[in-house]
Amino acid sequence: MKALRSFLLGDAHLARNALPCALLALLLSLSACGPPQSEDPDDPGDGSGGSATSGGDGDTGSGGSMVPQDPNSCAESTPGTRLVRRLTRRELTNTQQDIFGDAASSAPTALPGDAVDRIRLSNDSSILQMTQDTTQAVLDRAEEIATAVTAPESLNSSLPCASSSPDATCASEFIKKYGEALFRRTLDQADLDRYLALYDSVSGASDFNTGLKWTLVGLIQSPHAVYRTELGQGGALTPYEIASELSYDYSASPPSADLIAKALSGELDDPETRYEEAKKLLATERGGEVVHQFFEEWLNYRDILTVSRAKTPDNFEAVRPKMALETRRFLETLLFEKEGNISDLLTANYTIADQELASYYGFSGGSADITQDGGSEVERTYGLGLFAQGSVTGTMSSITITSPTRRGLLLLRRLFCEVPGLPEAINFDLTVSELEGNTTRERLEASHLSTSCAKCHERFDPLGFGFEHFDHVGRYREEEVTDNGSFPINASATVALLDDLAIDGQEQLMTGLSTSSAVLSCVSGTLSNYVYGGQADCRDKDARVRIMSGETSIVDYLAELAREPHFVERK
Amino acid sequence: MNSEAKLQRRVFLKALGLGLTLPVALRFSRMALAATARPKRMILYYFPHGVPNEHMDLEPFLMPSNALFKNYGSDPGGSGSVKETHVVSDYVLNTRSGFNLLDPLAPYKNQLSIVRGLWQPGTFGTHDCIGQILTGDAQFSSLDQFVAKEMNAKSLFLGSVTRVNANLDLTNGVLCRNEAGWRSPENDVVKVYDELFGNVTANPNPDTPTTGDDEFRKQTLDLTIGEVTAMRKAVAGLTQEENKLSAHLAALENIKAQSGGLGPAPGEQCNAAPDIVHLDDFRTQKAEYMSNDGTEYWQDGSLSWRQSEEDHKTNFTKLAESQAELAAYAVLCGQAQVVTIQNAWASADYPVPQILSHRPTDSYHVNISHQGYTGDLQSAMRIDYATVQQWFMQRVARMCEILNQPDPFDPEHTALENTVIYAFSEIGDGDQHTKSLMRMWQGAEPDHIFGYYPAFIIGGGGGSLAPGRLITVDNRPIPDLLLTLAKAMGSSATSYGPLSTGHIPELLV
Repeated sequence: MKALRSFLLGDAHLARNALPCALLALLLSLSACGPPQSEDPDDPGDGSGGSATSGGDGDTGSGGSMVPQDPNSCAESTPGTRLVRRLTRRELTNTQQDIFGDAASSAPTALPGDAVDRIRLSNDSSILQMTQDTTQAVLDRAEEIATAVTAPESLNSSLPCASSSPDATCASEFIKKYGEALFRRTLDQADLDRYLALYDSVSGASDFNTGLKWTLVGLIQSPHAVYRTELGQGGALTPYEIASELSYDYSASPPSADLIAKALSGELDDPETRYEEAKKLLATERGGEVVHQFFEEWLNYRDILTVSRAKTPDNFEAVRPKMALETRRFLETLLFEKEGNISDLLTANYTIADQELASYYGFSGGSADITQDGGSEVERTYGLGLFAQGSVTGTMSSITITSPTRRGLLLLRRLFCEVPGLPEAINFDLTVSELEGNTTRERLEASHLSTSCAKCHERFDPLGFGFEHFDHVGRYREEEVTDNGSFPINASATVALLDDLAIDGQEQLMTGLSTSSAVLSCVSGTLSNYVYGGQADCRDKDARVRIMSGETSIVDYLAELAREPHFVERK
Repeated sequence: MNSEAKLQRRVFLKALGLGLTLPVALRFSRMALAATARPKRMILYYFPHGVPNEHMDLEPFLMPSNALFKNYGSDPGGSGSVKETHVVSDYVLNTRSGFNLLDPLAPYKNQLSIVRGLWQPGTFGTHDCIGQILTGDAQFSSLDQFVAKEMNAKSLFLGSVTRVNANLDLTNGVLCRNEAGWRSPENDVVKVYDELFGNVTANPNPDTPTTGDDEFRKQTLDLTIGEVTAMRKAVAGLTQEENKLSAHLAALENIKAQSGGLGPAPGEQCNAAPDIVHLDDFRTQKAEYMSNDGTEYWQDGSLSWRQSEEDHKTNFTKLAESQAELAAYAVLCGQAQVVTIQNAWASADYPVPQILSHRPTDSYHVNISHQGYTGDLQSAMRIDYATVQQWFMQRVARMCEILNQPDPFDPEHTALENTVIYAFSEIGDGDQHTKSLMRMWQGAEPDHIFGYYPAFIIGGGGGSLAPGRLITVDNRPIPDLLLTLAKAMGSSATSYGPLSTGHIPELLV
């Protein structure tokens, strides 16, 4: 019993390691396996994410697949359905910032975060809703902004007629100015009449400034401001819709006057023009943030800043923030400077580090403090690609030991688009005392792979075994040090998802994954869904075929999605 | 002095004792006379990770040798179960183990009812039951939103939850929802405090919305409602888009109905802002950490390990302490009629060194709550688990303490007698994740226990609850309890979502 408790409490605590296979019923109905364990909420990529996630609708927790359709099975690229897309929090904030400047940046109310889908990615139009909290926050911010904008000293400088002739004509000018900016199109007479009526009613009971204040509140919270439509007319999106689509998809910002003009003149009907505009937008700071947001959500690597870890090196707390910066800088370098493709993402043999971080990993080199804009390219002596980053391996671990199951699940979700679900029943017949082994891997093999749990775990635990040379805080090790002694690491595995490829170590694993058509399809499809705002088939055939064949970089691929017919048509 | 004058004088003096101004105290005293029905409030108090049942089970103990419950727990929802209800009106707060996580509520025992034997009939399996525990099926409105809408009452939703990249965790973090979707709790106690009590001074805040602003806001909301309605019409046939816009409409209508937000209604002001524990600390921290673009939730950081902090994750316990007091005072002062506190999210894994100092790095979910019952009623690990859950009961006791004074709106009764506090968790046994009344046969028969959901109801519900009872049911669906509590709050609903079967009359007067 004492050994059992020690096992439970100490390094070998499986609860954060080994999810009960009953929790990972991948399309199968399993009765039980494993000792009572738990899904780990600090792991956004684990099996617990397979249950209810739709914004507002509860799933049954049955898990399933988010595998995008293979583009080679599509006859051609075909447009998707018509949509009403709520602006994301970033898009709303940027829009208000661009239009109102200081009045927006000083508004104290923060908008709530966006809902995330079953694989914990936001920007899914099907679940991005104006919930009560978002609607309330939009209203609160609207009042704060409108109060600032219509304060006498502000208004008189931004609207000269406010001091000379504060009347309905001046109010119309105000409505047009802000209405067109917020709605991202010209106002029609019905719009103008509607807001003038509100102005008349409020100003009649108060004064000119108050009338304008509440009119502006209405404009800011209007559905024409908080949603961008992809409805079109007769199957073709309107020029205003295309301009908004380009600008928001690739920079999370409202369209510039120049972009709207190009849309109105028909220039954006040309796929090449759209591609070039998309590239320009991605090259901006905000465009870069759109890309970074995807990867932050895809990997949740910023969790390295906050996960609980013990038995760490003395400088781990100092190194944590550097790991997060390292990953961001690595992505910037790979995606934008080196124009890397998916294979590069998975197998790059370098990272970006300063001296302390490089030394932490055991690499040579590294420059000045990465937290002070330092950091330079450093050659890796072990590990390849994005998934070797300390922020990833360190997050996908337990408090004091590694977690091959969590790491394997991360790869399963992110590279194969499979989403394990939760079972309906859990049977705890198997007790921990039945677990054998000296190392974390051996105990997992005993509990997961030699029982009925194997049905699920053999699918992803081997992926995690390939990472066993990475300790729980991202460093390389040849041995696992336990209370019972030191034992050599075994990072070999047979990977069923790669046609039973035999690998030994993370490097061989990532090399195998980088050429897998399933992986290329999953990653490219996930990126496409993120840009287009949700899942659908065959919108992106041409662009995806090219990225999967390695012909294009990831950034180019994102821009090429603007070439597709879906970008300007809807069925 | 006649009885009416006595009542009026008593109310007046009590109101003054609360720090209310003369005019307001006079108004309250007249209102007390004018009131024909007792006020009703509700506080929903969520704590994660269930309970170790051996440390809360009371006599008559649920164990196989007890003939009363011999056949209980055998067939949740099925035809083979007993379906009897057993009631004890004068129960004793003792357990077989000697440790009772309900001990902090002992002073309020005559207001405390416990329901044993509830069942979660939905398909959710483990901690994700958090989404069902107040809704029944994760689709219906949660109890607080349901009641707030029926009462046209102001609701307040406080929480200590983290987010996934600043987004609400829709798997383990969602507790409350209405027609517009899942609600997000407010972590920021400073913001809520200022909203509730920012005007509570001798010199009212000049930025407080005036009556005119409330009317203008409603007009503006009406305009927006019209636009959303028109947009919904324009997308007729696109079901998903129509549903989105319907949810938006529901949100706007709810906001319009509760227009004015939290805080005192015009003419009703509590002129003594209460002292809330730790609030000054939080105010200082907020000024240091908060970034305005909302990408950093300063109180999320306070739930996590932060670099160079000696006392990691301190703020969780401080937050919970603050929010309990805030909730109780909001209710006492009439500034919110329905309050929900979501302490943490399901599977929350941070250490609780403030509660278990001898286990400073052990995580709450994995290390502390996942301790299986092995037949040992004195298991130190299970007592540790019970200690953490008892800590939450101390917060409930603090709320009771604040509310256990004459109700300003009904001084014949205490505010506690006019409130329903429901303390609950998303699972029964923290290790087994029980979601029904279930036998846990471990060890020798005298040590066998049942696992079941914690369901503690404190208060009188404005005269509708029959408090102080130990009620044992045989796997009644949880929506039945939700329906019963809604009825206690004045609802005439006969069902609560698709899974309820009826009221639990033993809880009601």
